[in-house]
Amino acid sequence: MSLRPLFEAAGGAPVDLPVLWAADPFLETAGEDIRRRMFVTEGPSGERLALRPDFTIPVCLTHLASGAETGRYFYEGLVFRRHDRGMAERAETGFEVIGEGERSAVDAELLALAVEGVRRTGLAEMRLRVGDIGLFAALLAALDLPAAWRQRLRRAFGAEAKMHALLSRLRDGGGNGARPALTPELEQAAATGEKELLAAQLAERFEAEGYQPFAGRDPQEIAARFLEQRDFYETTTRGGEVKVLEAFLSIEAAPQTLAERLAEFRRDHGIDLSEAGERVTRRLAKLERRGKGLDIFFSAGFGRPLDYYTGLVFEIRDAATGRAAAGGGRYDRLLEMLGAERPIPAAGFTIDLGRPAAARAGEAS
Amino acid sequence: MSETITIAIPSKGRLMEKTEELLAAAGYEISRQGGARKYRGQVVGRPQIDVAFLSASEIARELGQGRIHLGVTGLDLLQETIPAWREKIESHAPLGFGHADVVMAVPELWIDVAAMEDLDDVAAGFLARHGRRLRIATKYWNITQRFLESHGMALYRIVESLGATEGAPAAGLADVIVDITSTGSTLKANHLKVLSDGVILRSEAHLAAAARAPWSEAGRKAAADLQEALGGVLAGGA
Repeated sequence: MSLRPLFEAAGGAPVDLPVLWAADPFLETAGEDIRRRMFVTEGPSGERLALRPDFTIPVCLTHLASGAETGRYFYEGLVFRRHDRGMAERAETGFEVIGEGERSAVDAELLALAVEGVRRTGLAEMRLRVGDIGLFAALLAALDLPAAWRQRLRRAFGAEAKMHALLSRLRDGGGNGARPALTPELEQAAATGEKELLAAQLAERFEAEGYQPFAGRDPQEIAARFLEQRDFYETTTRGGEVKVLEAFLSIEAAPQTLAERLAEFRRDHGIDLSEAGERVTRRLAKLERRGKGLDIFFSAGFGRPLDYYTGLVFEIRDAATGRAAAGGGRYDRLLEMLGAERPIPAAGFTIDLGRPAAARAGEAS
Repeated sequence: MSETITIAIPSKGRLMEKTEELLAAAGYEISRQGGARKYRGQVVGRPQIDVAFLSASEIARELGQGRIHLGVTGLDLLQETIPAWREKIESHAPLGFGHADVVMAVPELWIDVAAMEDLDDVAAGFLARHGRRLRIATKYWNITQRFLESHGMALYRIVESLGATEGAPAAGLADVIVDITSTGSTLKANHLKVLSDGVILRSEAHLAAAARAPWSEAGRKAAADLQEALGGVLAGGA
């Protein structure tokens, strides 16, 4: 069944999108889970084309091409992703809000819309899991850690195995091991700590080795990072900070108890996250009143390890089976990656409508 | 179901020589009717075994599809060429030659990059800095993707390279590479270094058996005999 009436009432305009797209924007920006599953083919003049693996990037590209400041869009159709087994096409519907700066209000509205949308697809009992990198960023800012470590931890947010590995290393000490040896000239330049000198040495060597003048990383960047990375070659043991991080990442709370959990966290670890916490609860307040059949919990470690997700993320699952029914979040950096000249706030969600009916019928017969 | 089985062996180079040597030592001497250029052969005195001469990557592909029963090819190609290779290859055993590593290598002058973690840092800031993702040149798409996934690295782009991969960074076609190397001398000559945890796969030639090939009872027996004879030679010395 179509969610068109619901989405129209929310101010959305229907977008009818092509199935075939230039592959590059997807290859450059989409997450690994999508990219590796894309169907890529060639156009008549050798250009690479892809069957749309999702709707968010096509909607953003269409918005940018339209020149509009803001837009509310909804869509319904098939997306194509390669799977080892089973059907490569699934039906999805979804809603995206682009260019509206009232982030908190838009997030709250989208959460409510996603819940109602999933309900109308026939799911009565659902679990809504919410995460927000804002809280984690606030925690990192309050911890006494070398900047390079802070960046790595922030990037690992939402990637459980990676976070776990980083935390073990930070607890047990040890940087990257011994720093690899440099040539005497580079060693000398590095010892001065002078970025310009080191960069000049590197530039000379790059030229001597026949590198094209900097298609990629340049000597300035390499020299700067080299000098910054010394933290990693010194033994860093931060057992205390690791305990705090682990305590934070294990926080799971219903919206009504989140403030209490954060107060507890502050008592135990002396770090006040109440402000970032309130931003989360405010967005969930509207939803709670919808209550029935909806189990909401905030999960401090929940996020998506992609650099364009910048705030709230959420997923809705069938409370009985655990099947993922919908997912969404705020992706304020995606439009810039796709070519916008300045940052454009954006957020949205996608609801899984399952395999197309014709395919199901085909399998049954 | 046919009573004979087909074994494919590399059609040229050292892999072919080494394979034939090893088979001969195990009592399986290969004869090429019609001269060295023919693509089919026989094992002397064993009419139940057909020999096909194919390129190493064709052997991997044919094994995956079950069009041959046995094949000698590199572990790297089994993993790269065959989707869900663990299901399609029912057994495989190293043969003690054709050693080479699939490695992640970066320019030596990236003095700030020693390990995968560093590369992950660099990849994370790449788009903002250079307007594109970090590019990795390789012919090993699948192996590379799986390796980077295991390191939680998502922000990169693979550019396909079908030859002279090691020249891609200097030519500005890619930033780093994933390539196969046996001695490391080609990497060195191109001023590239392997990351400390950048050895993705230690490969060598393997004798592999295809799960999907049409196996008859006699075929099973012939394959088992061959595997046992090779195992005996490999255990007995070399």
